[in-house]
Amino acid sequence: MQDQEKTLHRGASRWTQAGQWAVVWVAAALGAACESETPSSEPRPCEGAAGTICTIIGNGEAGYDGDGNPLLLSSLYWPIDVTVHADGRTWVIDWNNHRVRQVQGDTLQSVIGSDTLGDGPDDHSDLKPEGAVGTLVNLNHPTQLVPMDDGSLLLVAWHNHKLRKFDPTTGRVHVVVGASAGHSGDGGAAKAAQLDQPQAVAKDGKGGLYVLDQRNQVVRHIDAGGVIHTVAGSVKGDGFAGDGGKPLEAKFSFPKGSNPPPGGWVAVDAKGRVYVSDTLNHRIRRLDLAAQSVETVAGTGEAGYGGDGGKGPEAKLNNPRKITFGPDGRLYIGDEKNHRIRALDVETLAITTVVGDGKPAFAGDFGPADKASLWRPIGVSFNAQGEMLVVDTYNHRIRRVIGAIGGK
Amino acid sequence: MLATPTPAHPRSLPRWAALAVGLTLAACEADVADACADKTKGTMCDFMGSLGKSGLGKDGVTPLQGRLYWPQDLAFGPDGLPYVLDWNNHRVRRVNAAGRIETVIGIGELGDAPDGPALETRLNHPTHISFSPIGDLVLSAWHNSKVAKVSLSAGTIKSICGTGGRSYAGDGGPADKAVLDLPVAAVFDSLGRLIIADQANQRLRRIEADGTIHTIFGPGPEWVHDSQAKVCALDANGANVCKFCAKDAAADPACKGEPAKRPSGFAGDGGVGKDARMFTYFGQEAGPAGRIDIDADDAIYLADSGNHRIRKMTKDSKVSTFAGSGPATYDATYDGGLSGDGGPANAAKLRSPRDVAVGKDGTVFIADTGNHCVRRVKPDGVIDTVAGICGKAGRDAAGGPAAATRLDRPYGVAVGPDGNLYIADTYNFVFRVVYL
Repeated sequence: MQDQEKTLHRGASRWTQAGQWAVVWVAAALGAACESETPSSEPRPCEGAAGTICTIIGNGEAGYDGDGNPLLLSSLYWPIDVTVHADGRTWVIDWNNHRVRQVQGDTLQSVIGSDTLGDGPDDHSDLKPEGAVGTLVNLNHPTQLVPMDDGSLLLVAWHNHKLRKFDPTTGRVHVVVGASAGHSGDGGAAKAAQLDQPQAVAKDGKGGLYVLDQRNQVVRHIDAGGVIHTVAGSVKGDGFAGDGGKPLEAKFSFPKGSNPPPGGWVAVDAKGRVYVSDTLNHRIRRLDLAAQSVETVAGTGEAGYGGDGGKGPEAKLNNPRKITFGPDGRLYIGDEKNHRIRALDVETLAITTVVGDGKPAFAGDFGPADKASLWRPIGVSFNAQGEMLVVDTYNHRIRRVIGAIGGK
Repeated sequence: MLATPTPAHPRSLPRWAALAVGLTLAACEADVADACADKTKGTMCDFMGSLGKSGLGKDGVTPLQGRLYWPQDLAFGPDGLPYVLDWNNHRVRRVNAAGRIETVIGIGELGDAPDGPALETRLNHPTHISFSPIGDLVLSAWHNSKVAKVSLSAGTIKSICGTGGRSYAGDGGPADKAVLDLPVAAVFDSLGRLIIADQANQRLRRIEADGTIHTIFGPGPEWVHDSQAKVCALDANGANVCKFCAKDAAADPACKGEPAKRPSGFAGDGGVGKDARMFTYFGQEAGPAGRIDIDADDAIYLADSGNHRIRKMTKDSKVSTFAGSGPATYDATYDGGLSGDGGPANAAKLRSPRDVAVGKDGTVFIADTGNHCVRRVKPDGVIDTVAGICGKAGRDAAGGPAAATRLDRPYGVAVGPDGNLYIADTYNFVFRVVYL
């Protein structure tokens, strides 16, 4: 505003008194549009007492302004997840910018993804032994990045129907699973199998992976030997069925159709049980593949909010998205359309809200996390210090809740 | 008004007040100050969006305060307003009568383009707009594989062609039951028939006056079963001919056979549409390609992107190459070229042109996307460059000569009612105007 006033002041001497008043009036009338484009204040570092929430990445403007801006002045567009390695390296899955961006110092740098929407580099070198430079790999809506035991990172390239492996030391990318959209390859090598908009993966603890294969409406498993199988759900058969029955007779409901929004997620607990964020059934399901059982551990099936302080199966969720285990052993849920982060104790099934007052807005930074407003948070992660990071998707920001989440 | 990119200058205010408005805007956004006071012939100005800044931005702001994300194309409505394809925001927006950006179609989230309120529909990468003879907006909802009609007065959207599946089917039947595969553009001819560029199907299709759809460029289905177990096909004169045929009558060659799937290639110059082949990209990495426009004589111009040519098909179905040149048959290793300004258009080289626009005087503008420039073919058939520096991608500020201002992969061109050239400078995230 100061610059604007100076400009007007410099010009004013040339005008009549009446003219000056009219100028002020005109300027005031246009002020709103002008102010909305002006940063209101200097970004404030995220510091405070335990339990305080504050933004660590994102200026709230949906878009891409290039890399290299300070984190709090960087634009994201519908970030879907944030990945923190045990060694502290951090990546934002910047969904609608079609990029994976790494935190480097106080900036973001794209490490996978180019300026073009697509599927791989123009020369298809990510299908060849030499691999492709990450920043030449065109992506279409990536959804997750998972640190692997060999030091690589596995990228879930959702709308490319592929899993891509990224070597952070060389910056090179290879396609490791998937081709065109479909459901094929069970019983054979995963490399040649078809997926249909895989949304998320979870390590099984034995060198293998579970894959939430969204548009196929199933969970698939890739064992340590690289062989893929469908282990739960009914291929292309969405619905709700199977609690109390076998996993392959169960039905899940993930967004379907030709152009679905993303949905579903998968996580594995310390005992090897598999959790499915059954988004359109508004439930969290649990699979015990050894015992061949399926049950609901959270959500009544009706979209809504309620049940905190009680048991998960009596509580209501609304479009649950990412699920992940926190350092306290609880399962954290991006309860997207409740605009909250929920936490579920998977042994007692006690459920509660940990972040968000339920109002779809951006509010509450530097105050207590449970009084802050989120807007359709899809992701939740934990940093190396055990602090929670909230992917506040529709606010185009990553927010941090200060203080380690300790043991129970 | 249309040619004025800063409608915030109200004409009714005294001059000093207008000047103050200008200063106010300049002061709060120095980077988008109107550097384009000079609207002389050949100047390029920014028209909408913020150069080099992709994003969603806000509605309710002036065009140059807004953000766009990979804008694809634009069209002017019968109301004189520009309607733009804000591709990666999955929306159609316009500059409204008050000179402000306003979303008119799409909530921005992915979906299958359901019928209903236009502002709530879920588009996936829409690519083209045209207007029907009675003023309805017709949207090519590219990745939804639908062509939809939008009533701007009622604020509703309704699919008129395409089930949303992605395949080639439905010729001879009602258009709303047909299946398209990435319809990239749709234009009306003088008879009110809608011609659809069915990109991944490698065909042009046309919705006839009776509501049925047929293939007019590229091979059609030999025969199509209708609801009464008849089979129908277009004869050599384009008439729909039907006969009874048992579905299992394998002996009758007319009763079997699948239509060719993605019959891409290069063929048919000098012949008729059904024998012609185009190459418009398909597959997961394919961007929008193969947009069309139509001239006053109902000749269709097709940006035959993968053949690096502009093809022309007259109303009596005669196919030729209008601009560009290359191998006599499709060659995947030929990725276009850059040459020919000052000579005949069909001896020049283009690189992956994605759009074409015909001006009132018959001048044809070509989005020579892979060359980062806009070429122009005047009615005498000579080609030149009208915007951008061919062969050089860049992000140059507006305000200077169009032919010295670099563009980055311009995907769309349109001629405004003011006769000026509008360019979707896609990877610079702006629409630009060249005063002609």
